[in-house]
Amino acid sequence: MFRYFIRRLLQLIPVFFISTFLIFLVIRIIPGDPIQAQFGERRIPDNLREAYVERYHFNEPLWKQYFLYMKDIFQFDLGDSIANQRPINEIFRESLPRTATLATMSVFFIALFSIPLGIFSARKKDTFADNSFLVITLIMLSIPPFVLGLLAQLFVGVKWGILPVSGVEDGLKSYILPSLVIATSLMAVDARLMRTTLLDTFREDYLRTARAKGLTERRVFTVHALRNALIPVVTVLAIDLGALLGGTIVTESVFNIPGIGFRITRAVVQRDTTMITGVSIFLVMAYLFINLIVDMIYAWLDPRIRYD
Amino acid sequence: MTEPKTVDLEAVAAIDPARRTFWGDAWRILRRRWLFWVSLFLIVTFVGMAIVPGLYVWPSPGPDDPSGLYCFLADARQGPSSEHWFGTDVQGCDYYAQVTYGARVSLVVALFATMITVVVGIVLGSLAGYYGGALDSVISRTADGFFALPYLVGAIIVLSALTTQEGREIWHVTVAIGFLGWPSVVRLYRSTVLQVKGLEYVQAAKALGAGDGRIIFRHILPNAIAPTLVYSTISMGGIISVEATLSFLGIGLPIDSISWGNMISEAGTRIQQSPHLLFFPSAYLIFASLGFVLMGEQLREAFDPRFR
Repeated sequence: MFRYFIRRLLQLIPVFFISTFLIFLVIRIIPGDPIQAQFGERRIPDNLREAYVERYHFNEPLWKQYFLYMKDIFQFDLGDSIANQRPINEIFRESLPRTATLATMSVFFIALFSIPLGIFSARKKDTFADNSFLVITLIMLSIPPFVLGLLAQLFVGVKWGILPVSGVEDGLKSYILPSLVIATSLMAVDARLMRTTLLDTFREDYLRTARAKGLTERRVFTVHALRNALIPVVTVLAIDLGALLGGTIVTESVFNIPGIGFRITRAVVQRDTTMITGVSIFLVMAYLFINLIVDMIYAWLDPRIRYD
Repeated sequence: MTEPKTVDLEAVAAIDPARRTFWGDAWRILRRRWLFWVSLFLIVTFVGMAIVPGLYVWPSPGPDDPSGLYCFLADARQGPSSEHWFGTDVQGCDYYAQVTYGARVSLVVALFATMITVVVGIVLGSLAGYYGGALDSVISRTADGFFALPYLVGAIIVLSALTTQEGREIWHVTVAIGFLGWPSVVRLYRSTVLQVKGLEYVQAAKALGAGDGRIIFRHILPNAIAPTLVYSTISMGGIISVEATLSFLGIGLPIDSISWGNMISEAGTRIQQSPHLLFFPSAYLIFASLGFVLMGEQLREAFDPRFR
């Protein structure tokens, strides 16, 4: 298990550097002076400009800038936001818990809806209910989350007044509607995965064995079929959680939740290039980290993987 | 004991063996499925709308209204009526005409972005799959590096790099979406190339002295393209909503271009007073996207021997 962990970790290293260098490169070729962008037409005080140049090594060659930046990253320093004139770490301390709450609650709703729906559809395979399930999931996949968000705001929030529609003033309650919107657009994939893996499991020999032993149909289904079919679904739920850290951008904008996604759209408008770099690199790290954990869980559940 | 199924010998004889091709089989499966016809209808409707919007909107624009959009400021923001089926927008333009003309930009972006991803993906996927070795490692690790970045964050970064003082143009958005999409095609196409590469007929072509280029494009491509075709059809649908999402976030198409994304994003600010402004472009967007996703699903099942 440990050897497998080390091997996966080593595989992540080139991916991490390629991804971060890509971000770094693309953002550095953004036209215009990143410092001047914060001051519009006004003149920048010389000492301020010097401080930024020194902080970000703008006068060094590009490869050296990247090297020095990585050195900071490995000391858990994501740099400063030029527009806000604050360390990005500090901004993260406020925004990250909000995005994490939103992501966790969304994954909870996804699991709550997609697992029963997938089971239902698998048990009714090829019936009218199953076919409608296919069409409905495809429609849900085709609705862009921001359209769903706007509609949810209009009906649930404004017309019926059930849930708060904007901001985070109402505590956990204000996250319910945005999480439901995210869950609705993502659960289609998970529900269909639940359906296919369950159908695959139904064909396994060990199910026939269980039936032959004389177990009740109920026990065969819950203990033998469902438990095994849940493994890939749980994996995908974990991957959803990782993807959602960077994937709640749209929903955060619609519902005015000042999380990570909200910050990065704001940073684009303000042309705050250091902030864009910092947030993106953080998201890459989070994604790779969660994927590593998912791989480990998977290898633990299914020993065949780690001896591959 | 079950009766052996009787074989209709006449029907078998009627099938010309030379005509039983892979594509012929797929077509025979497709034409029996009603969902295929539904998706074909949706695609033809929207592609027609993009090419000849004049077929859907009449009477044709007169000389006094060269925009062809029937705008009269006095009629601003009316609800749907028999005169204006979808109501009018803020500038008093007939919304049905607006929404119809919006199809062109959305479909053009989706088509060209998909073409970029497919061409780049197939070229790099062929190189990685066919030659393997160091070239494969470089291409595959770069693709992994792209994957580690959340899609929207990637789009945000690329679009901020492409935006100049003059603002964005349609091709910027197309290139950005294409630039981020190719890694999935590379992964998919590379794995099919690996499967096809070892088959006897490829070995035979090699033994006959065919060059690498001929083997890659004449022998491998026709037999490895099906999964990529399925994927790109589904992704056409996805790109239609991604483009709208980018426009909603304010980093998409230029504001003066008539597109569903711009209409929805503008409607979002007036959602309470004029919900019809949100409803109609969203519905068109969802159905256009659904058409491609549904078609992709049908193609997948028709191409996959397991479903036959």
